[in-house]
Amino acid sequence: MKLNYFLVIFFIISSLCSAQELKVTLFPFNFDYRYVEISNGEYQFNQFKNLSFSTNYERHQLLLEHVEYQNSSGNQTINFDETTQEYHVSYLYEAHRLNSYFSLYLGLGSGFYNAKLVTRYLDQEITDKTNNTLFLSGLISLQFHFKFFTGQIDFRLLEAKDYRPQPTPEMILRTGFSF
Amino acid sequence: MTKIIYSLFLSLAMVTTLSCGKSFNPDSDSEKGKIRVRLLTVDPLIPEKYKFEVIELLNIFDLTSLSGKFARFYTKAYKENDELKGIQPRAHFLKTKSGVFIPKDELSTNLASIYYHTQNLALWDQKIGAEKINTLPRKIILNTQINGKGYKDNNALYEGKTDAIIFLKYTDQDLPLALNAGVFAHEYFHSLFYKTIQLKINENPFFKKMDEKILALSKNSRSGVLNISMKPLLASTEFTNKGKSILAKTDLAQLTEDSVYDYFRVLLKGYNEGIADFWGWSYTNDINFISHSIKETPTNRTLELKSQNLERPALHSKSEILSSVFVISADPEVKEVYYNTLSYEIGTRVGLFYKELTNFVATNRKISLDEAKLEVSKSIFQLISGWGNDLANSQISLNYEDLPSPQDVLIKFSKTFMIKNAIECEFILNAIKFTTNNSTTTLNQIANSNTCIQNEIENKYEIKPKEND
Repeated sequence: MKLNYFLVIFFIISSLCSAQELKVTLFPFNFDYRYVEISNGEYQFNQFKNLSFSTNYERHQLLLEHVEYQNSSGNQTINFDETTQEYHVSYLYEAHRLNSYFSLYLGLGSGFYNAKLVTRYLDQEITDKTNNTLFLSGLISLQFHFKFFTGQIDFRLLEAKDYRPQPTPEMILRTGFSF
Repeated sequence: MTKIIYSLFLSLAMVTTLSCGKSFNPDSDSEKGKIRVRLLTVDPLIPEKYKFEVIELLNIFDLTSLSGKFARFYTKAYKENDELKGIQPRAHFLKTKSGVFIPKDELSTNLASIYYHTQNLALWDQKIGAEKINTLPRKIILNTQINGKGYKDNNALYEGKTDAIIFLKYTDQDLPLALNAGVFAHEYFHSLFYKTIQLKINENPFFKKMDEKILALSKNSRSGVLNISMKPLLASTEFTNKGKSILAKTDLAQLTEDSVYDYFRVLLKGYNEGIADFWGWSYTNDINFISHSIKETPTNRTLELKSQNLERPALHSKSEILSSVFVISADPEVKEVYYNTLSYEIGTRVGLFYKELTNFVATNRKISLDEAKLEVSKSIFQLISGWGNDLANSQISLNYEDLPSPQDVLIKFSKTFMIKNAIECEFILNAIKFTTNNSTTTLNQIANSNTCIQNEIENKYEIKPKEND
């Protein structure tokens, strides 16, 4: 449902713009790595599932993302499955064009996340869900555009209540197709 | 038009950012004091079962590291200048709308559970008069490699030198040891025994001297819920016949120092493990609490008469124990392992006796089981405190007659326990009069000079030597 809201926003904005001026990019192949605290207090890079698309108009870019992460622990007797879902909206501005192919974008983002936790002990199972919680982010994006192919490396700092470390550093490698 | 829309969106993002005004601290970082957490606890109606329950953690300083008045945790622990150091773990919780914290992963559940049990047992210490024995917060070690044979995984132990309870990595598929309430209570008791007896006997010149010669009782300050042991010894006819034979040929008036030391070693370790099992039963009402986590134990630790092939509670005799010591000491290669086995066998009878006594007292006095547990536990604490002082100050004799038997220890216990009527007195006296002997569980009456006497002034019964006619 929440993803639908984003799609609606995207298409409303798109429809208000001239088709010739607007470029839409879909990113089906993303590699999203975030440096997070794990249960014993240490830190490691975890991979997140990331589905995103962007719309560009002149030097402006609107990036919409759905990010999901699952974490499981325990054994056959007692185990925990946590699924976190995030919905990102980010605005980026082309701060510097390096050449005809490469550009540097800077941006700010916001959105919300929620988590679902399933706790199981033998035949007992309990599901808990959180409310939607706001987060903020800042991005630097190095983008490559060649005809209909787009590749970009984004470095993001994410500030969210339940995330550690704060801010949480993230790197996303996106490859997509523009039209 | 498009530029206006984009600008509006950027403004919205900025406004959201600035007006957010929320703290970016996780809920658990700001929680202190009394905190409601959902954990796995023993079902009071079905002791063999665990269920999810919302409980209160008290006096929490920091929920993220689960540090508070009652416990402090260490991972990757090590000793530096005799001080315990390590990394404080990080727990992760999800907060529900009703303000209850739910552990998100196994480690967080372990930490919260251990803290909860520590707080309960510390409060129990206050009730039984032991509040000055243990210092708070209790130290708990997790996720740490321990040096020593048998300390790799799937075990929990108490170490006296660091005064820490240690949970080794759990690799089985059953209830993790850190969540096993009975196991924690078992380990917790070891801290009481260590401080009231093991530390004290080191003041005795005899034990001090033997410490340097043999693997010491006090130096070997680790007590695990599962120690390396072999299959039951005392049930073996061949074993006990061999023991009887050695005993018959021994000058009992002049035993060797090694034999006397080994006798005390297995007797004290037996009491340590046995009462620890009683503590585990008392905390959970589960006669086989270890089995939730470890399906098979080398020795039968079930606190049930039927499981122990007994008709009524009975302890081993002095001759059984000493003859076993003789047989074991003859084979130095397996000595340590068999001493552990012997200790656990002695201990199970001790734990079973106190559990049966508790049930008997509850029924006889028509009081709740919890009230009966309190009475028995108070007296056990007084027993071990007094026994520790006695051992520290006594001259250890090499005469067989002077060795304390389990029945002698029971008489000591009877002096700390308020025996309310003749029936209770007979219950305890029967455990003194009857013992198993020589590999069977058939009860035999041993030479006994004790009887129940009513003390009308103090309105109680006492077990005392019979007066000569």
